Amino acid sequence: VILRLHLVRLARARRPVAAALLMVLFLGLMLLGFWTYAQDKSGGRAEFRYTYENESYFTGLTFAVYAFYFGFLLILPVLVATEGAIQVAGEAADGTLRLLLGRPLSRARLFLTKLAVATGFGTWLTFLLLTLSLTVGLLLVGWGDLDLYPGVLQMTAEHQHLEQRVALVRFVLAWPAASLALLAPLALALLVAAWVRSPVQAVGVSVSLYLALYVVSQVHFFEALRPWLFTSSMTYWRGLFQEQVDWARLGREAARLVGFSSLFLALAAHRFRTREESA
Amino acid sequence: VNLRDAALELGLLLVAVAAFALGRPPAPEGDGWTPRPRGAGEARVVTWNVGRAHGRSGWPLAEEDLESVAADLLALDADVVVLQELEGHEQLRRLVERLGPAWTAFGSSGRGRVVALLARGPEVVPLEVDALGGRIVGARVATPAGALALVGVHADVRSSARRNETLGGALARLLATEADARVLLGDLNLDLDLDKRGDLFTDDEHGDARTYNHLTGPLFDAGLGRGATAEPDRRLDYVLPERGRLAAVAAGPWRERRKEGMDHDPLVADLVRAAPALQGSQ
Repeated sequence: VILRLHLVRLARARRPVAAALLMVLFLGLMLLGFWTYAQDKSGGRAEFRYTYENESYFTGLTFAVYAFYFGFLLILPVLVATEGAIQVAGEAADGTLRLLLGRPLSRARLFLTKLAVATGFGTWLTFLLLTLSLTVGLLLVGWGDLDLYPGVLQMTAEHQHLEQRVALVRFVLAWPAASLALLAPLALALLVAAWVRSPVQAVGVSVSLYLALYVVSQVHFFEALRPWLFTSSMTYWRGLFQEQVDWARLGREAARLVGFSSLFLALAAHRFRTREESA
Repeated sequence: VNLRDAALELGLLLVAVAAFALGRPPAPEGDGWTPRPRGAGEARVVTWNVGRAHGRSGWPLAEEDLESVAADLLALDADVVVLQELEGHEQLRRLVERLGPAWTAFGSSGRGRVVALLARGPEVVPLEVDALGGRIVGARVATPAGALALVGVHADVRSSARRNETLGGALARLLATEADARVLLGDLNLDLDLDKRGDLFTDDEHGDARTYNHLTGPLFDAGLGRGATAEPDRRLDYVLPERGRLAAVAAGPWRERRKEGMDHDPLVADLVRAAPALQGSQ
């Protein structure tokens, strides 16, 4: 009953619809950028005479992998952190949390219900972004194999060529892998929300923390800090887009993300159990 | 305290501890190249920027370091060495004198500092690369891994577009040369590890990525994953052997060889003719 109640509240809040619209807008911008870039680099106007980029490089799968990569880093963590923050701080602010706690229901169960709803929402968002990226890529850019090269995005250290069929399987595997990665920013948001009462403050602090940690994990100057930041591991699913997948490494990165998520959740659950709800 | 609530927290903490233990990274692999005896059929090639990093343009190889550099090259027991930042042809001649009569050397044309290719053995034939301009030198050398065509380059330090022109031209020239296998090597002034604020070191990060990927189509990067070759923590020096024809048995920068003021390590690669399973591997 309590789970159904949370799901109904999520649907009524129209956050899923807003998230879907945001993704469509994002993919539109990505498509525009991808098209103009491909025109410049393969249309004979390139400044660099010697290059690997040509018309066969720009396929729907290339579009999908880059659209998903940017969307995963910039949009999905913000959406799941917002959801996590609203699940706790939003309900605390509008008084429904106090009403729920008045029922014969343990706080642990209530916390787990909120976690389940937010995790399900994150998994659905990941699926949506992946399928939308692939659909737009395959319909509007075209079918073909996936080629990834070393470059600015650090997707790979060596050229990787995946046949279309293999690449599509890797996209399917990327869904649970990327969903797992989103658990860490979600857990961080639940932790922040368990400490504050204003949903705006909870969302702002959670999103700011994620962005700050992400930037720090990307700057070479802070290399020594990387093992201590969950944002260093979040794009571990890129390892699936290699000709030879290093499963052991993928497993280690996934375990680290589970470690960070569990730690944040333990602290969040403790705070959620001990906090006082005022009228 | 509600025990069920507390059990949730304790359980999550235990999961965290177990997950962190499982996710602990393995001990890092040692980077660099360690001196080793060469096996049969192996050719050892080396590239080393021996200039000193002082001022805006740096300084060429110091005369007082000539003896020490020659000693290191002899200790390496290499077949082919490409050096960047020699003061001129006269300094190259003095260096070869110290290496002994078994060595043949060619320097790049033009004024100013010289890129030199030094090789051992009776069959060392220079390649005509002057038309490419810049600091380039090439030769065809008989080695234990077969007749190798090699082009040594010191690419432009400031302009990504000029690096693209020089390296693309050098690759085209190399691939047009008859040989059992081919190698492009030198200080290419490309660093693809761009999380190190690449914009501090290049005027076009995407341009450098294009150049690198163009080169590593027909060639492979023998020093990949073996550590930085230059200060500050950058990988600028490359040995790029031909895919499908050569494999790297061992490769990487040889540490602790820099003389005072130098900012590059010598990059060493031990190459053999490729069996299909060995192609591009280390």
